[in-house]
Amino acid sequence: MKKTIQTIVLAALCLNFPASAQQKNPPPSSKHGQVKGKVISLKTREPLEGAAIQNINTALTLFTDKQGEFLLDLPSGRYRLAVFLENYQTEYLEIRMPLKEPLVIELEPKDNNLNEVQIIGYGETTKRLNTGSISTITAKQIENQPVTNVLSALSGQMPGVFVQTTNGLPGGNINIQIRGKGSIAAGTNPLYIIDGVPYDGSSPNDASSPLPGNYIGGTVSPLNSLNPADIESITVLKDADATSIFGSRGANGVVLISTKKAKAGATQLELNVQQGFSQIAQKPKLLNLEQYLAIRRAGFANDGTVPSADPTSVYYAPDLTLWNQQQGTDWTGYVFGNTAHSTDAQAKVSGGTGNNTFSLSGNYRRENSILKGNNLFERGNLFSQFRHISQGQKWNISLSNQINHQSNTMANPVSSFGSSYLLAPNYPLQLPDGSFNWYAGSNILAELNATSKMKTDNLVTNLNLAYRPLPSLAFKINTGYTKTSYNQCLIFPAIALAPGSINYAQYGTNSFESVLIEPQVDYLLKLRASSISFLAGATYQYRSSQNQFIQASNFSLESVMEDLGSAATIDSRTSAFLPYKYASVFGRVTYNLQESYIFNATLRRDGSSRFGPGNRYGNFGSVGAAWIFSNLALLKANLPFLSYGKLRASYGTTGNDQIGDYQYLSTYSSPGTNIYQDVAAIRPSRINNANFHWETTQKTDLAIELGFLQDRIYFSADYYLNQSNDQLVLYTLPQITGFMSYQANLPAVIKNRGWELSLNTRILDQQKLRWSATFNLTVPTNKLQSFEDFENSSYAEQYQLGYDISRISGYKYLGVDPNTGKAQYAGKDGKASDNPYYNFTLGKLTPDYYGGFGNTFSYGNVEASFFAQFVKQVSRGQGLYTYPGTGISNNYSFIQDRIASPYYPKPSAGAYDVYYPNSSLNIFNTSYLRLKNVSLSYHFPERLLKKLKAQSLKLYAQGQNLLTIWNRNAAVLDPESGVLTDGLSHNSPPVKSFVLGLQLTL
Amino acid sequence: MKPLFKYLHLSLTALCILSSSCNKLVEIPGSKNQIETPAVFADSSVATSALLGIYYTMAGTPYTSTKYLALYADEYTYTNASDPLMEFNRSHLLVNNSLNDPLWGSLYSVIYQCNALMEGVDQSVKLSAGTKVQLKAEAKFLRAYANFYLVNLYDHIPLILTTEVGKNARAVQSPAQAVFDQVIKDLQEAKKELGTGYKGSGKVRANSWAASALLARVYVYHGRWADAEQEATGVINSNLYSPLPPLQDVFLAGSKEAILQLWTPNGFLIDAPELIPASSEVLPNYVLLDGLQQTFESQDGRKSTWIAANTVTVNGSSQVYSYPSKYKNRSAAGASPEYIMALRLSEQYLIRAEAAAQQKKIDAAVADLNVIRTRAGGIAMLDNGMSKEACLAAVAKERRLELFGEWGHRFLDLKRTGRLDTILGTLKPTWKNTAEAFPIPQNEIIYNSNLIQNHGY
Repeated sequence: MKKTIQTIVLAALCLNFPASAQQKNPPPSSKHGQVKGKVISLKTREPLEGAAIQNINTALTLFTDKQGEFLLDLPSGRYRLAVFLENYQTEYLEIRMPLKEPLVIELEPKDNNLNEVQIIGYGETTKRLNTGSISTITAKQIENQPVTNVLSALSGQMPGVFVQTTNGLPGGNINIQIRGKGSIAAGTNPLYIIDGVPYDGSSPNDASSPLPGNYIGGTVSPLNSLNPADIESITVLKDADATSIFGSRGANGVVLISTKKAKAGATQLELNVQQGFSQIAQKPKLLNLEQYLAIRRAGFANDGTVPSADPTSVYYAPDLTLWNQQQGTDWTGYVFGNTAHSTDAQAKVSGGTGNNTFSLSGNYRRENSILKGNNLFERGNLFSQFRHISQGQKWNISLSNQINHQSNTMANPVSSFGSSYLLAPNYPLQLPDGSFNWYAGSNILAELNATSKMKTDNLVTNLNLAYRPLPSLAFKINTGYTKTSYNQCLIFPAIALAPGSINYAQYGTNSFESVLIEPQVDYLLKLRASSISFLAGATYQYRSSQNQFIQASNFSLESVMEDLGSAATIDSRTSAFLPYKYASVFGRVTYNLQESYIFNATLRRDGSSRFGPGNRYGNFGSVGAAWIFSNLALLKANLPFLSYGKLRASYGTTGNDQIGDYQYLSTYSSPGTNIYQDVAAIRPSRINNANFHWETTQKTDLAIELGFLQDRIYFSADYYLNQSNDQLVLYTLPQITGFMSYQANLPAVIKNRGWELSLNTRILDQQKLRWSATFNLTVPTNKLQSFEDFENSSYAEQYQLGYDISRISGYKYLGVDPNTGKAQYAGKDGKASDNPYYNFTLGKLTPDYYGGFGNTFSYGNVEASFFAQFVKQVSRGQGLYTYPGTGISNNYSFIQDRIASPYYPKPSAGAYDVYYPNSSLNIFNTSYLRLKNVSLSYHFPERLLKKLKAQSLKLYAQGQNLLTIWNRNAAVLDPESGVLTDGLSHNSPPVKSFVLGLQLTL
Repeated sequence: MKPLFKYLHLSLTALCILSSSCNKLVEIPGSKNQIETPAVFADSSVATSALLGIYYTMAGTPYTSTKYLALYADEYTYTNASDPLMEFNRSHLLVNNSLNDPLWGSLYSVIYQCNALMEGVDQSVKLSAGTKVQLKAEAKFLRAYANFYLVNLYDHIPLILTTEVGKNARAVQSPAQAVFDQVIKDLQEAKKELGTGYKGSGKVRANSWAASALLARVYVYHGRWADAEQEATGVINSNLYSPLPPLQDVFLAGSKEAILQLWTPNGFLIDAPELIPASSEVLPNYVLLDGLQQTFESQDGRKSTWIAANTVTVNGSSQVYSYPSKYKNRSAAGASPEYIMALRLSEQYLIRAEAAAQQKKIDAAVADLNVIRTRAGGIAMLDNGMSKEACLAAVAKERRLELFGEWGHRFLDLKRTGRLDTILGTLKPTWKNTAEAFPIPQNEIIYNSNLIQNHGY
């Protein structure tokens, strides 16, 4: 592994310096033996320019010219040479000077991606030698997707990684779940690491403030701050072998993000501009006005009652007696009907000579949203990077800096949002006298006057220092500083609220700073046929966060509601200061025997301030092994089509400390409006639990990787088994205890098992015509294995032993009672009952399987690709309160078929069948196939570039979510996103977008 | 090679020592916005703040305006389309009604805080004996107050007397009588231990008269007429709360007849903007039902002072809608702030009248009723010569009029006198006799399978 790193370092160092290097090339001298050499591609036999030829004995390097030629001038003797070139395998050879004939060196292209660098925790290896379960996507796959949040680009791309765009708004949250839901309630965020420094994955406006619940954008994804164009690769670590080195924070998987590194070469400028527009990806099929009214009328007729126009009457039905009977509104189109525009501009200058390289890139992105109202999301990034490698590679210094500013201004019709698209089609937003109609308890038109302004600033600084006294020994220190500050202001003027309400505003700030120091030692021991590499390190992290929330009301001047001073009343104010400290030591040993047998062991000891004294430290570790059996001579001889075969297995433990600070402490604190009788009032902060401790997840992984026909077909299959014990959860409590939950370890074992298959092929691989295809599939299962004293726990009714923890429970529909014509639901005994049992198992939210497939074609200068994602799953229907006919709200159009069928009850205006939304009738197959991405690009030809004096010019078009195939007869807005409003989270459906862009490199 | 191993070994050892033996690395300072519990009970002013936290919670419970209970009974109707509120309007609650949940939960939160305070005080070595008695007595009063409403609404509730989470999470329901016994015990102790004066400004912390007044109510609910009469007499004869103030002053902060009020930070009730329409032309959200309005005699001063009306024109035709107007501030009020009226003297007269009537002391009962009617103004005094039944009916009617929209009096009166079926059954098509008890919130049963749902849900 160390060799690989060295190779990379050298390759990066020596690349693309024909001009400067040739100056160093000493003039030919007759005293020495001179030899002319040439470097060519093994595959195309074409000469290679810019290859670095290093004399390992003297560390002297020279470079090939345009013809791939070089001149070697050395005294007699034996020399070892290394030849490097980006995208080619490094070649080592030994020569004896003087040489009699010209030297021809053939380099093997690295399109065989088994030899590509594979980033792992605290190091690098190759895909070939890797012992863990890891998936990576590269800049190329990210660039093809016009996404705001880089996590969206992972959708469907990796087996075992379930990415759900729960919110299609710019800046919205993206759910990511690696190998299933291991924890019932604690954070399921993976650990994010950017260039070696952990990046906080929790939302800056999470539940600690009431703001996200009052904001249609919901919780904000912290990864929005990253500019996707600055990212070189995203690597997801899944099994114990890969994640145990991150110990307590690896239980939910680890996402390693590496930024694009500065490369040496002539200073170049890269410009990229794109322009796009988006619309709602998917509209639900709803009843039109005529159909809606027919069902409502039938409801009254079936009951034998008459709709009334008197608002105090039990039979009040303004939709039938007062509102427009001819013209309806398509509310989905009204609320989500905007065409959003986006602009993204990118400029990057990079270059450097010799051992000093730099890059500087700036990005500006602006987009509005499909939601009605004035919405604008803007993001600016400045990313700078500097690298220095000393002569002889003793020092390696890299410093990078990301500054990011985001602002998101939105209309905020929050109370109408969740039910907006199911308003009665003839619901008038305004009454005849021009006033807003608040009958439904909300009014989107009025509420568009409410606004949200959010600003997020982000600073990420990393410094990596490495000192290498010997080629095999390195001391490194990794330091990072991150600061995020988030600021949101929600304004609710009186006009945006129900008539007579008092205007109010909410202000929230949250800022956190984190410092990381991580010293490491690397040592590589080379033996005869094997090598052992050692890694030892320690981590110290300090994070402090500080938040404040104020709600003020009664502003006499609504134009200055951002000014807290103009409020007559302060309703509520809270603040919190939360320090967090984290310290660990870790180590890893990797033994590589003949590049065929690899053993890997890691150990980590972690301490976290989130636990009570006595429970703060935990130990985690793993063992992994890989056997590259295709190196066996027997196989090589008999199975020539098998170019690569590897078996790997790993077992280990990881943990999770994504819990609140101070949870072990019994304290009192202010409830917000902390005044009673003009005196400060305090209340117990929580039910404390001094005894909670580390949770552990045991991960087992077995896999086979196969390459056929020079690895043009690459297949891998993983079987994983993750077993979570003692999960840290906010243990749900009945409210009779005084609180709704407290921090505790769940005495349960949850098993996540599954198969992950992936297939990559290069079907056509010619100079001009290329075609490659990828496919991946994950079949996950989740099971509550055991639970101590389950019957007496708070979870006895929520879960079932042996069943998936994402269980959906509810009433069981039994058909229509022939005597009464009413719906019948089962009692606990399964027979029809007046008091139906609410806790039948109706399904699970864990998908049966999910995956993705894609194809990339290129012919000459044109490249086209598409990628599709599919999920097999069920969902509960959304937005309904009763069986149709009752209540003034619209319904999905498939309900007409139900009403027509004798298996379902007839509509009734007064029956209030409130079991329906929570019953088996409201569970739908929402499996879908979504064309996530289509992209087309054209590289302008050389001739034109020469005229323009440009290095490259590319025109491209990209589409996102263009097509979705699913059964639209389901009571959901979109099969991918969740319900519109679910507690704190507000989720807009995903959008389909189309983008046109131009990329120019000078 | 050997020195290298040494390096490696040394640095690893050093790191291990650094991290594992040095706990300070992961030690964090105390919180800046939280006070550790022992410190709370080490100082009387901080401990008092913890007590005020309970009052604060009580004032924030959905009971304080009791609009839900007025909908559930035959007092108000709701004119918008909110599903959970319409369930109250129909007197047909679902087990997962989203408003029933906080109704239950906030009162148990009060109880938890009371228990936590009593435990904290008991463990304290720094608080003075006098402070300890005072704090605990108020906590007992508040616990009784919360339990009283819980048991009356839900019938079968667990009696929670400690903060032990393991035990409470699995608590079973107690017989209603056991809850009432505890309520009476708490109130009797509170009455004994509290003084007759009010702590701090206003009448927003319970004194012994508040305990007496609530005790009188508990007794009358249980047919302990003599006891009820005795407690109510005590309160009335204290002369602290009489004479009854004019109608328009009854709900103001510091009202003469207030025995206990709950403090509001800005002089108005949280629900006021919802109950009081913004302008005189709009349809009120909560409209007084005709039946209640018609029960008032036409000149009853309470009708003109405590009820207001809007004239709404829809499609050319005008309609008058009445709404409750006992509380009049709908935003911050500096000049005449209103506090939430928890216990007031009029109810004590009505309790005493009922107790007297039940003991066939008709004259005394009529005299008490006439105190209320005199203050109301515009209506005739009742005559002495009526039967017990007629007198009880007069008490019931007077209670309905005097206490409408307050703390669910109407609903609880109908319930304790067995009239729910007759009255609500005729008014609401979805009424079932099992609706006399609210459903235990479904999540409570899910999280504590020892709890048993009330009959009919």
